Parts: sequence; structure tokens; C-alpha cells
Amino acid sequence: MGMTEVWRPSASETGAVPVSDLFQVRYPELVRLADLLGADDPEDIAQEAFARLIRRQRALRDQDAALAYVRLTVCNLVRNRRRHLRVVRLRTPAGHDEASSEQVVMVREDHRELLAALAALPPRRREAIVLRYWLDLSEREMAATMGVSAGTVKSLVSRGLDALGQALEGKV
Amino acid sequence: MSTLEDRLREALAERAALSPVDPGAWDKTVDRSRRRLRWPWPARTGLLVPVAAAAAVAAVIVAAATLAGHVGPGPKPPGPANPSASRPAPPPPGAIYQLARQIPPVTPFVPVSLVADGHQVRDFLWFGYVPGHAAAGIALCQFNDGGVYNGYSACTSGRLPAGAPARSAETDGSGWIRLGVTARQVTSVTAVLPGGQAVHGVVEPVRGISYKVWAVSYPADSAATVLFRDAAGHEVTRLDMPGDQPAPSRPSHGGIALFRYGNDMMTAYRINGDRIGFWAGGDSMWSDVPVSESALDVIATGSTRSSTGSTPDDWFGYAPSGTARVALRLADGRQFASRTIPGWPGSGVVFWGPLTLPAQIAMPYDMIVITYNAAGHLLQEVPVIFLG
Repeated sequence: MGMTEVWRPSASETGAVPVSDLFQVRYPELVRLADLLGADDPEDIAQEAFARLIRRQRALRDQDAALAYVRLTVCNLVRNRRRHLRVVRLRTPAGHDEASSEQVVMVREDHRELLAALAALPPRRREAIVLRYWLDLSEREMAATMGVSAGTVKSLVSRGLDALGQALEGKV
Repeated sequence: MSTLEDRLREALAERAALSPVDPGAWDKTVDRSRRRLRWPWPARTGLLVPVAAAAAVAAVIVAAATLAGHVGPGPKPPGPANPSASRPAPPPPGAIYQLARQIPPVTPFVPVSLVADGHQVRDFLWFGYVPGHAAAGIALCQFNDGGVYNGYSACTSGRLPAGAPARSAETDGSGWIRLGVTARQVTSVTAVLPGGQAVHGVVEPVRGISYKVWAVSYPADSAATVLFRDAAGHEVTRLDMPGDQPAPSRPSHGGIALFRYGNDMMTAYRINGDRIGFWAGGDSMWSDVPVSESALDVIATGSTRSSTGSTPDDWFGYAPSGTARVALRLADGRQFASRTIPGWPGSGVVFWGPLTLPAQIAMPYDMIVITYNAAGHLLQEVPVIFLG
């Protein structure tokens, strides 16, 4: 017997979309989103988000709703790990993972400083900045993805930009 | 568009393009979705949960279902006003009973209703014991009904230590609602924000428990002082709640080199807030729990997938002074042990690890952390639990 979690779709949702199709198109984006949000294992996060979607496959009948759901789940999982975990996991060090050492070399110096400043932001400001400037989401989409109001989205982006600007001031 | 915004777009795009993607991810995802449907326990996967030995915390992330729609069969019940828990509450949504089978309630469900960032949220609270881990003490569980985090649930330690008038235990899915336990004489809770704004919360008795639960809602990234008062309006105690904090900087001195980690040394430092942080090259991590609250912590390095497959996890951490050996016992009975090395004089902690666990059992885990003194006597056993 399995856990049964029922989600009733809204009346506007029509036309079932196979999760495999969404996965094929969107999985890399979700991995990258988790990575940019600071997940220590972005693929684990993205797979978990899609695994949860699979369990609700029958209930989700709209591709936009499914995409919004996995994005929301990725954001929540990254945030929840930060919030709940007193055990913090590290990225595999350069010596263990060739890709990460390549990343260090391949990212431009000025971008590295900016990304480091981004990583030091409080989680929600970082989330807002990534959703706005990487995914190019609208305020409405950001609000849905972050589970906050549009006003909060504006505030988080504004405060995030201010903090980034201040962090970079001393390095320009 | 400002230069900063342009740079952000470029930097994020450049960085994102470097994220590796596992070609076998779909098969793993499907397998994960199937494994998590086992009964009575969902497969252990995903979230690594804190070990806080001082409070014997067995925190359990049960599920983080986060849909904007209603979770549970039947129509969505109307939400009460904010804050309110005084009127007779509608029955909990059906989905809560699925979770309550995993952490069986030893108390009735206690509904509290608050507004979190504009969303009316009912948070159903109950106390129970994690099966197989009763020694960890009673757990305080929650289930969010309403709002964007509809269906979010989690459990953490529900103990109120003897003599302590209040303790903060958990947040809801949005991070806005803080909740915890408090002494019987407390009748009201108020969060005072940095600007002086006061936000009133709720305090509710729980049948079968000698203390109460409290909850208050304020912006997730804000600091606050939470005041607890008795019926006469006298302050019983207060809790200083930190807001979201930026990452700490690596201290310039005072580190203790622990072990070689890649091309660097994993080094421990004392950081502000009576906490301990670890740095190795460009990587860092830190506990958000002061040593005074928990002198036992477990840290795992990530098992990031690479072209050669999963790398092994290295586990290490700190333990209370007097601990000579720390062992990790896996669910299958295998045990891995490490001797400890001294911490800073007077710090109350020693360090242990690294223990390299086989890559093929990398996340998820369900394990027990066991500490021994120099004579080989068992000091404590603390579960680290994963639930899907």
C-alpha cells in the first residue's frame, strides 16, 4: 500500500501531458535552476521534483501547471534543505569532480565576483534574482514559484540588487 | 537596464551552462518515484535531517507537497480568520491522515490559523513518536493547509526541556510561520520586528501534553524578538529569532585542520553565534545551531555525480568533549567508526571523521550516530532519519 496524496486539478486544466516529455525538455533547466540557487546536489533536487510530479501525474493535466509545479518544488527543496538541515553537505571538491574545477576556470573573473556575491545573499533574495535574471520570469510567475506575493517579489529583487551592488562596490 | 542587471544575466547564463546533466537521470527519477511509494515507510531519499544531540532531535521531513491546489480529498474547507484558533475548527484535510500513519499522533490535532505572506494558512499540529526512534523523544509535527505551501508537512523535536519556558521548533513551508512549544503559564506570544512592529500569534494547549504550542507569522527573512507573556501580561521569556543571514566569511585564524579534502585541507573554525564552520578551498559549510544547543553534528560531503559515476560521501563532524570514538551505524547493520581529535580548549567539542561510506549507498540514508568515551562506554545514540 502506498502513500496516497490526491491533488485535484482545476477545471481549466485539460489535456494530459506525459511527464517524460516535460522531463526531456525541462530537466536540464531544473538542474541548472537548483545549481544557481545553491543546491549542493542539483540533480538530486531536480530528480526529486520530477519524482513528485510523477506521483501526481494523473492529477496534473496542464503543461504550464506541471512546469510551475516542478519549479516551485525545486525552489522549496533547495530552501528547505537550507532551513531544516543542520547537516550541511558540500559540493564535491575539485579533486573529486573534474567538472567543478573546469567551472572555476571557465567562468569569467568579473562574473565570478558577481556570482560569489550572489551566493552570499540570503536565500530568498538569491532565489528572486535567479528567477528574474536567469529564467526571465514575470513577477506573477516568480510569486507563484516562490510562494510569495508580487509585492514581496519586488522587494526581494530590489534588496537583492542593492546588496549585490554594495558587495561589488569595493571591488570595482 | 542597468549594467548590474546585464552582468547578472550574462553571469547566470554562463554559470548555468556549466551544470552537468546526468544522461541516466530519467531512469533514476522513475525509480525514485516508485521506491517512494513503499509502505509503511517511503523510501529514504532526498533530505538529510539534522542531528542535534543535546535536544535529541529526530527531525523528519515527511513530505513537502507544495501545490497551489488543495491537497486531500473533498472540497477545501474555509479558512478561519487570522490569528484564530478559538472557534471550533473544521476537520483536518484527508491527506493529514496519511502522514499521521507514519508519525502516529499521541495528541489531538491542534489547528492554528495565520496569514503567511498574504495567504491564509491553517497549520495542523500534533505530537507523536517516530517509529523505531522513540528514544529520540516526542516529535512535534505539522501539516499546512492552504496557501502556496498547501500540503507541506514536517516534524521536529517537540520536547520542552525541564526549566525552559519556551523553545522554537520549526517553520511552516513558507518560512513565515514560526512555531514551537512553551510552558503552561504562557498565554500569549508576540513577535516584535526590528522596526518595532508587533505581531500577535497564538498559544494553544494540547491535550495530553503538559505544555503548549505557539505560532506567530512574520516575514520569512526578518529577525524578531518573540515575547511570551502570562495571563497577567508579565513577560515569561523571550526568544531572539535571527533572520536570513548571509554566508559567514572564513576567519583569518584559529582554524583546526581536520583532513585532506581534494586539493585542500578541511579546516574547522569557530564563527559568530557560538557556531562552527568548515572551509575547504572554495567550499564552505556551517551549522546554524550554536554549540551550546547541540555539541553533536554530522556533516556529509555531496556525492555529486561525475563522468566516472557517483563519488563516495565523506562524513565528519563534531561531538561533545569526552567523546573518544564516533560510529555511524547504517540501516543494514554496517558500522563505520572514527576516533576523535581535540577541539579548541574549553570549546566543549572534539572532531571526528572523515568516514568514507560506499558510493552506492550515497543518499538516502537512515543511520544511527553512536558516541563512546575512552573506556568504550556508550554515551549516546542519535538517529539521523530520512523520509521521502
